[in-house]
Amino acid sequence: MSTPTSRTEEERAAWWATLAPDALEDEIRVNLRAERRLVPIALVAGALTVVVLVLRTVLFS
Amino acid sequence: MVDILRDVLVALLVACVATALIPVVGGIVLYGIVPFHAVRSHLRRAGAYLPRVVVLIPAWNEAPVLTASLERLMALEYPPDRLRVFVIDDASTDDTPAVVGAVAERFPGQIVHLRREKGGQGKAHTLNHGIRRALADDWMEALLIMDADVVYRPDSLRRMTRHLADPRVGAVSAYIREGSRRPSAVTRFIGYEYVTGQAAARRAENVVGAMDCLAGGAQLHSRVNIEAIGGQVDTSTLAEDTMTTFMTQLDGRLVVFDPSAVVLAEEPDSVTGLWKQRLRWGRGNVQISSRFRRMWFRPTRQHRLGSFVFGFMWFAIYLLPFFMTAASVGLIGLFLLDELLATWMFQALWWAAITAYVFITATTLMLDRQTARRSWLEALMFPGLGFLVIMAAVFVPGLWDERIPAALDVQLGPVAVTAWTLLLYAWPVLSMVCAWGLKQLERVPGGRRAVRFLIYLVGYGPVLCAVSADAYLKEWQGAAQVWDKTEKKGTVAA
Repeated sequence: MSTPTSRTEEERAAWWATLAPDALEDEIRVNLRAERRLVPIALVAGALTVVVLVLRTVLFS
Repeated sequence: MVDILRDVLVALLVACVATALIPVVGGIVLYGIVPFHAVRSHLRRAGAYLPRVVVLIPAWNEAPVLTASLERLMALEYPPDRLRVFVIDDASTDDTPAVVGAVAERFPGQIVHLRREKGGQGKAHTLNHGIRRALADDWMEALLIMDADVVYRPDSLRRMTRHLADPRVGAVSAYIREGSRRPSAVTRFIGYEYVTGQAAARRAENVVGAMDCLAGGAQLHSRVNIEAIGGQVDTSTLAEDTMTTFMTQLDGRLVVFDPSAVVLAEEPDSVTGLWKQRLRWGRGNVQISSRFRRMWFRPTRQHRLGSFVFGFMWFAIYLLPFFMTAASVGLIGLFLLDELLATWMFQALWWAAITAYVFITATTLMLDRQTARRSWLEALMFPGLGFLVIMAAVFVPGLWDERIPAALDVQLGPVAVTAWTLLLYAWPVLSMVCAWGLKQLERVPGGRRAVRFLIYLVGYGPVLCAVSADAYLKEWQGAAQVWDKTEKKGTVAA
């Protein structure tokens, strides 16, 4: 069997569906890692907000 | 003496306008907490755990939606010998028994039809009938409470049960996503609202360690938890889900939200349907706020419901109608007493609102791209065109009373400028009145079609505020507690 990291997304989902304990632990790890995207999302949203506020100050003050 | 009275009045009016900053700050705080979920998710303590689960589906005339829901449950990636489904038929008068019977024949021993001959007492009573049956023997290790129209993704249940590997967890909530095949304007707004209310807010609540409400259609309890809260759900309020959530946490167990456990639900497609559903929720939340009045803003070691942050987020949302009314009253009052101060307060308030609007909308759209693809317009129009006009007035000085009239070669007189200014100041209250008008308009022939467009003018946010105001009014009047079932048509993309 290939290691989890070498699997495609579909293969990995199929492996998780086998409900083997190591597969379920891997699913938890992947879901946990996916939460890391919240940081760049917040940074992008924050940057966009700052750009809007600066833009207004530059254009209309 | 007159000067002192005037100064006191001005100070009161400034305070009124300032209270409107509470929900704005609340929104920014909540969204500011969300990224911390990257490092403070309960997934770190989750484990491979597949307990024996009893699924409870309360059903009253749910024939159109049950087949799809049951088939999806049977297709769950979960050990079949660890899954039993109890459909608690609340004396349905449609084909519900036949529909359940037909699916049960295909999955012998896994689907049980429990018929209540006397129905109509509400969802909580129906659930309790099923809970009593589930607790009657030792087979059940966890209890999943769902709605008949909710369609579970194959991986959703196991993504909920894994949190119960941590014995401190009493209950787990999934992420309910609006899933109609052909969504109306109202359902698209709800889809976006669910991203803000669940994908964002419940992540923040995970971080804070206090959950406001388990999703009614997707809540998993450990057996220990169900037994500890008395082996039944509360029947005295219209918000049995919130009550169960609070009782679990007050008893020292955690309630967690898993954003990757996604289920799809059908939601109301009209303002009238939405009003009926949210009035029940709103009245329930008023009852809960009152019932737990000694809990708010009183931190204890046993739970986080009394923390300042949780109380702030709770009341920032549920007192919105009062904040909006206070803003309008304050601004109009200041306009009469001190026009310059009114202008300054108006701009300060709406600058904060613009900041929150951009930050929250951008974050929400990135949080759930699938919903963003179909509800991006509703995300932008969530406050309604009326509030966007106000934000534009603050963003571009003199936009509506100077720049546009000048471009059209028109000059507004002082009366017109005053009327326009007062309209902008009064819009927070007027928008709620207009939202109520949308509900009335749906009753007249052709009204429903008009509402599809007018809701973008009035805004979805003001509709929710108007429903909350109605909920307070109904509770104040002591109106009868009626369980108005939300009509379901089976439109979820299964």
